[in-house]
Amino acid sequence: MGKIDTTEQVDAIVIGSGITGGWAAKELSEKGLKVLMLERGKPLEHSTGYVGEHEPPWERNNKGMRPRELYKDEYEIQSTSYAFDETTRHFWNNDAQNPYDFNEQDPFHWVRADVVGGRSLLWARQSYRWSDLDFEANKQEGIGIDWPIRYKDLAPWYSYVEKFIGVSGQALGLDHLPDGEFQKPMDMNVVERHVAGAIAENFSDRVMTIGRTATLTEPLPGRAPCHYCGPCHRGCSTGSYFSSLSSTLPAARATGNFELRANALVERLDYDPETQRVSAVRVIDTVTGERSRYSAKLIFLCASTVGSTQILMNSTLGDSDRSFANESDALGRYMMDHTYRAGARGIIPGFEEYYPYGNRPNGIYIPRFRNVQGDDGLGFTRGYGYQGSAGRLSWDTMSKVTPGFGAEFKDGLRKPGPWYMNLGGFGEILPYAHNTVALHKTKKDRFGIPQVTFHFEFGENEKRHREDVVEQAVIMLKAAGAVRIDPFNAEMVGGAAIHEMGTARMGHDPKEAVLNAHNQAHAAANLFVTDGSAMASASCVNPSLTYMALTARAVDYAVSQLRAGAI
Amino acid sequence: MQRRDLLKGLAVVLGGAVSQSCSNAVEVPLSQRIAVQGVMTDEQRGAVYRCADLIIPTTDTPGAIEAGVDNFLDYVISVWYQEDEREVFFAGLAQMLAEAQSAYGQPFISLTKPQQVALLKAAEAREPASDALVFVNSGGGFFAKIKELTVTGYYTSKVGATIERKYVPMPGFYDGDYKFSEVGRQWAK
Repeated sequence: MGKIDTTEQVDAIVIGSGITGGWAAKELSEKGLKVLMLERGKPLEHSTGYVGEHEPPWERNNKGMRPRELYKDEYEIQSTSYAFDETTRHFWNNDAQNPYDFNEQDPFHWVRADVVGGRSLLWARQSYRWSDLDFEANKQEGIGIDWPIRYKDLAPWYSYVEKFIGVSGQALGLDHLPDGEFQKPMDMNVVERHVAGAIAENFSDRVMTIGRTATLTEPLPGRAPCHYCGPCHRGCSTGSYFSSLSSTLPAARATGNFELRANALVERLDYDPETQRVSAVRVIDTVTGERSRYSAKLIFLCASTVGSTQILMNSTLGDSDRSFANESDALGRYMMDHTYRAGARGIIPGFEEYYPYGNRPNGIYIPRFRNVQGDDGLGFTRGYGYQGSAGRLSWDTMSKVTPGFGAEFKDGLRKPGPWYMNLGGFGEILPYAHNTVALHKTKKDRFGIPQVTFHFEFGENEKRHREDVVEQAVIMLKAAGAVRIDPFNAEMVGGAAIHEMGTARMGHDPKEAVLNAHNQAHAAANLFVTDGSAMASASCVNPSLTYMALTARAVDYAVSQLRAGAI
Repeated sequence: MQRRDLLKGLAVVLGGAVSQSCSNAVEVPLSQRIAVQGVMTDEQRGAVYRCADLIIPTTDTPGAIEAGVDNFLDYVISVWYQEDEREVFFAGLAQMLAEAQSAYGQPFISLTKPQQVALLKAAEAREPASDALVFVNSGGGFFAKIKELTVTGYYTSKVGATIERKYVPMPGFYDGDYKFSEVGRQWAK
């Protein structure tokens, strides 16, 4: 590996090994380019690295009691995720070692992995296509800037990605939630079908379906269908859910054109104003502290929304503190996420003879039904979808509500509790210029790189749609005969849905946007940014599928431009 | 840092002195189990273990102590609990132990089972009943705490997961219409 004064040359550098970096590496290497992937996190091998996988409850350290002080001291942000516990902690960022400027008065949760594979290991795998309802919304409403692409530009790439990652789901024929290349859907359970029936009967504008998930119900090369053990985020040695480790990195390796360097933190990009190209990528080895520099014909920046934006902001021009990629002043602005943790749950009486077998790593989905045909006049624009599931309450809850103790108490807990149904909304957050990630003026990390700092506010539109999320969840549960309905509307924290996006947006005009219609930097023809930072709006569906489709499309364009001599 | 060192120390002590076998575990003298790190006196510990077995007794399946819940109680009470939780726990425990003396003139651990049950019921009656269908961790007074710890320790133990409940690590498929009568008990996950 080269020192700072030497520059190693490869065809393409991919920064980040997560869901988009993996795709970039696969596509570039399959097109014959020599690819070097740089990942700041620790090495991790598929299968053997999943040390918490299939760990039985009794072998869990201290029965899964969370080591609270350790979590507070070193994982204060990461431990807020549902997927964080002692079976997965080795995948996550240590917030004490790799901090950012967290402000309790203006909180933003930056949830990040610290291993090869990134958050593709930990994601919730829900995979939905966007439609032109999403791509045209900014233009029609005069919010943010117009997307430089439409559904027709991305549709073939959605298909291309879905076939490779494997998405199970049910085709519905909805224009605003287009069907994909689905493997056979997972089943709804008996109570979910009951609720779905009640919704179909009472609401002509709504449908409840099984989640569309990148978890296999049919085999793909090198990957087995799901065995329904349950906690996917511990890692899956059968490759039954899509991750870089199970899928794209093996494909890249198989080309013989791929090299991966872990513990390789990218500090900044060097920019040559004369050629208008990124001339080098500056890297710090996180173990040795050694600095090195690489250059390439193509650079794919796939370090996650915040990670990529941090690198771009730290890539300053000459002695100025201005990023080469920020002519638009859009870099670091228009941060979006989804609203989350609003909805309702309730008890569904009856069905007590049923008790599902297997741990389905998927729930139900109710596609957006607000403002689909036009403005519904509800006082907010755009919409939300629900995710949720039905199940039976188990010993942990039932033991709290069952008085007494002794043989009778123990015997009573042998049977599961009543059925519940849970509906939680994911809503679209609009792009606001004042929602930002920026470099902190003084705080630096252990390598001297400026830490990031956030400002994030929710607007009236978000508050209003959340009220509707709660109200409609209650109404639908009532229609399904639910009792003891418990509405919830938790405090909103930016980043909490882990769908942060938008801080290096795409757009036609270099004066308004960082990236063009092909995720190519307006300022540097050899730089492509294809993670969530590229987004000009957020839709209300889970974003990863769209990031993957954008990445595959961008690589196709980049390589064709390279071969045509345009890059 | 201090607490984490304590945690490591306790694991060593427990791992070293207490056999993995549940029946052997109860034969190890109490004072050896926690050595210097433990915060409970022998009297407190004896009463706490007894309460655990009153909450989840041996029936057609093993009870709490047979399942090794005593180790778990030692860990949580001595190490995992923070000071405020420990204070609530020991205040309620002290009240129950004092009542044993005042009502029966003997230490709790020496009483008959019906006498112990009566005292534990009295402790339960002093606390508000929970009607929330949500899992509230570590709330409540002594009774809620000892009950929560016993239940958690039991259902996540090997006995609790594989004998009291049914554990299928690799189900292989999902059946949302499966009949409860086919399994007859709760799933362990």
